[in-house]
Amino acid sequence: MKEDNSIMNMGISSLIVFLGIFFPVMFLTGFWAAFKLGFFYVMLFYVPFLPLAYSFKELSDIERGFIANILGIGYVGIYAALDIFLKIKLEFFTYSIVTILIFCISLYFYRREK
Amino acid sequence: MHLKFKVKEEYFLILFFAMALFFNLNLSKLPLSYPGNIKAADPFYHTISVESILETKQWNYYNYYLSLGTEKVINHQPPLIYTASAMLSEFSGLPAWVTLYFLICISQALFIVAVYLIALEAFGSKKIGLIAAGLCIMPMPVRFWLYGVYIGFWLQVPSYFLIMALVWLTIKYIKNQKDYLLLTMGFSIAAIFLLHIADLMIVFFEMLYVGIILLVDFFRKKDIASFVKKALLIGLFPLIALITVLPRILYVWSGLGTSMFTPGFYGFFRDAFPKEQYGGMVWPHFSFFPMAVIILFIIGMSILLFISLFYILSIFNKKIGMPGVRIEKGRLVFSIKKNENHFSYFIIFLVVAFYFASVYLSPAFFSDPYYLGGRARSLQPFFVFPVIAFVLWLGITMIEMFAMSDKNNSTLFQIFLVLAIVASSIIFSLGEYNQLADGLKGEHITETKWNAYKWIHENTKKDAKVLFFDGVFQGENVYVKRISAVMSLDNLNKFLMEYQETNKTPEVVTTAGWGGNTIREGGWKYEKSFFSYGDYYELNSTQRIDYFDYIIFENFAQEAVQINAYFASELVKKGWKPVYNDGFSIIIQK
Repeated sequence: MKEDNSIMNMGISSLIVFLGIFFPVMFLTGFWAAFKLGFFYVMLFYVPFLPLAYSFKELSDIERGFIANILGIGYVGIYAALDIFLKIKLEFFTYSIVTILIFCISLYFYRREK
Repeated sequence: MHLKFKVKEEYFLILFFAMALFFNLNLSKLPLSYPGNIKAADPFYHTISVESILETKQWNYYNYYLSLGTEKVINHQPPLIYTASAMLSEFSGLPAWVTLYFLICISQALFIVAVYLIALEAFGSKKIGLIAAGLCIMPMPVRFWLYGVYIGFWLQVPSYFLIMALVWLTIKYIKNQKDYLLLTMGFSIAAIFLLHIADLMIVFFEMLYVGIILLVDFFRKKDIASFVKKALLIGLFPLIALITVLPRILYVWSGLGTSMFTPGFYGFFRDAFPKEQYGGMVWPHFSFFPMAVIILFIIGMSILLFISLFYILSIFNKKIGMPGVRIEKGRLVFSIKKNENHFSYFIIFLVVAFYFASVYLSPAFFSDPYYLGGRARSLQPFFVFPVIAFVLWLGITMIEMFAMSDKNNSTLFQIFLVLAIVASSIIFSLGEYNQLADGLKGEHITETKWNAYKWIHENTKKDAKVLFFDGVFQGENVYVKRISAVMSLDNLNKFLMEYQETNKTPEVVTTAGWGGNTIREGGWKYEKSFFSYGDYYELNSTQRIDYFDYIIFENFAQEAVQINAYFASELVKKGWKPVYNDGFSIIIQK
């Protein structure tokens, strides 16, 4: 039986994206700003969509990572709809709740396809 | 113990991404304590859009100082990248000018991955993908192809990245027709809707092709459920995005961009920005590439055209063979058999040809194709380099066929040559890149200036009005975050003349512009209800000097020191109070 390493691969993929951001930024801003930019980019724009991207089985890890990035950058558009139609404030709390919600939906699709 | 390290192409791709990110960030840098990396009018209004979201916790309306005090003024900047930046600032605590520039550079660096995947999908070789990606780290000449990043076309950069992602997904869908690709394509389209809607024209032909595939599939299978599902997958997110921005499309943006879609003849040899003035950087021409790149591209497209023609003929006549070359398991194969690779070559040929036709032929069909026929030309390297990588790879495999007898060393040899090509391209561009980075060292808002602005932020009322007595470089006065105006230089000269003649300080000023005028340009709408909008206008450019609550004098040159000191002291004699003076900036209060 073929071993499923997808969870480990998701972890490695996130770490690689973090490091790919952290090192170039560190030379320009120093440690903490680079850490914060890398960490929050990965947590807000990458990780939430990674399980969904990993549910697309035919793809390579690079392709999945790329798709997670596309979805990650693209999903922020949802806040415009929340702002206009529901008059929800765009603040830390809203961003956190929506990101967690998206991660849960993404995880659901990952579990369903597994 | 025998340790064996397997060289994976993906490692190099990650390295290329990190390098591209560094080189882009390094152009304007990431100062943490003051916005010294904002160096043109456009980036000022981009970052202030993020600040507006951070301050008011919403995107829909401009805040007080951007709307010049009018309520419910429609923010006509599309929301996506600004909200992303605001979100990152909210979490990291880093300022908007850092997070926004960072996201723009991330988008530019992600082009590398997009180009790799496009080349991989089209030519079936990771090494071709690596060459293409590597050539895009510092696309030569960098002053043209990185122009969007450093001059501040900050809506186009992420939007074009998503265009490239869409191109990759389209090629993949045309080849595989998997449903999840429709979902991700829909997501990309929706994101472009919310980034810069006009850019969708670049992928018009690709979208048409996908639409035809869906329709043909429907008419062949007559399965309406499957058709609706596919239509929803690709259309649901764009529909939500469309509804969100529909009032803006109808009432605000329509006034801004209709001429871009109005049929007409713009002219092939007419540039919106004269080459003499801007060096043609806004509308970069194909001829800006080095001659070697142009020749290699023409060779590559000729090979692809040749294969594509035979591919088309072979569809109609099964007896026709497929003379040509293909890459199989990283090796060059000469073949006369039809192969699925030939279909990929046909598709990439169409994609590149469609792109070039769109950007260079649109001036023949639209009256003012500013985005499609102009700015979209900055995507040329990302369509050109995959083709060049293909040609270079053909060269590498030919060298290998004749020079290499030991197959075991083949992969290492290939990777060595790939890296040599990438390294050569970076070394070739490095000198020009360093010149560019040196040229961008000047700051519109220095730390000293920023301290004066911060004084305004912390010590003045939100509705205070500020006059910049001796002008600004390019709209940086918006960063005082109050309703601000800049006195025109003509007016300053007039002041001096009047003083020499009458020995009096004039009481009426003419402004060169109100802070944030570029962000309001073309919009000037406030919301009455969701589908009803009224007009508002810029404030009058002629005002009494006591209309302003504060006046800032900036000693930007030696001549200005005396002039500023004189006028400041004259106004103080008339009752204005000096409240801030750090040697560079003098602020007086009414």
